[in-house]
Amino acid sequence: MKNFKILRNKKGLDDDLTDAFIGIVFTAIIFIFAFIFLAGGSKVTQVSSVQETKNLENTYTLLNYLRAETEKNVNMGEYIGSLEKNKIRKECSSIESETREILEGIEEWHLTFYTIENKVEKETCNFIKFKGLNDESSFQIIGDTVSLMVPSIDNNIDGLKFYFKLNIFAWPLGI
Amino acid sequence: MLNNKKATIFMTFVSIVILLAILFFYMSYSPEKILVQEGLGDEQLQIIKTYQQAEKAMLYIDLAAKHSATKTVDYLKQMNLAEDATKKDVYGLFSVKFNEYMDEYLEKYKDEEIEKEGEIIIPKNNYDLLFKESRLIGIATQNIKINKENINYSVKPSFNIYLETNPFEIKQSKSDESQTDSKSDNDILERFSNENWEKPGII
Repeated sequence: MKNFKILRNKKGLDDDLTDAFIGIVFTAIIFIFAFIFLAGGSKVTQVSSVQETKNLENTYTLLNYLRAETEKNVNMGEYIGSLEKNKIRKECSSIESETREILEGIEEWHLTFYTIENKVEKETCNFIKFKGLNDESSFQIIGDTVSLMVPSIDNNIDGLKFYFKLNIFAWPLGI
Repeated sequence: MLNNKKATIFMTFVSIVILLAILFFYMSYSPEKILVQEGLGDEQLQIIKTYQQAEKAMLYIDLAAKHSATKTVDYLKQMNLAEDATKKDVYGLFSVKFNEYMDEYLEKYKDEEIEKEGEIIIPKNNYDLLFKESRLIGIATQNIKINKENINYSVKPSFNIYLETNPFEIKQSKSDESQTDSKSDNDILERFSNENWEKPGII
């Protein structure tokens, strides 16, 4: 209680500019810390929810893509799964044109599938529709993608895994 | 004031208290806790994600059933079925081999997906097969189960697929229809009819 005497000490409080300055600085620091903490926390929450929602949308698109019927009277998942490994390689370009037709109307997307052999060997086949991105080999797609696995009739393939991303952000390689 | 001893003690005391308060504030309330507590709609998102996880598994099972059926038909073609093989024999062989192929596929799926998506229980040797017109219907005896925190979801993974080849026609040229066991075969014939063996349709 003795320290409250300072409040009655005019020299100690009102007449000293340093006191006022220190008080203001302390108050500002407290507010800054509190603001950063609260603003940061809510931002993380919002970003997380938005990302989850995007992933849900991407998964639906991927599911619908694989269920979509191709011109061969079977759905896309069955068609690609019914091909042997060598045929998948050869058919990549024709599947790409079919893919573009199925996903017509969607502005920017990136779709990849690869074969899994003994969980080691992977081969990719990329279909990308992105403004200004023609050579996918020179770009890296950044951010989370959703994935889905379909079976293959080829015994040498453990499964075909599809990756899909809407509204892609591509980063040029080598820069 | 800084020259005032009492004031110096007071300021030092206040500074320490404020620093301790800030430290306590950060240690007690991490952003992660706020994320869990205030993430509006998180539980709803988890429900939809679980539903999507089941949808993915259902798509996989549908496609695995088609490939398994194709492989089973190929297997039957390669086998030299006995001349006196009845429809019941063919059905039994088809059923056993089909479930074998299905289990192989499901094992691959579990290995790949469980790590990423969380626990999912897909029963094995799970299908009673029914042949109807040009389709193969697999009636699941047990449900797929997905168990997560606060969410228990289950769905019946039955399927209905188109068969390109009638498995009962594979041995038709070899076997003598008159040798079939009439009583037991009638049961199979009720389950199977090839009258409408048609072109592929949309599933």
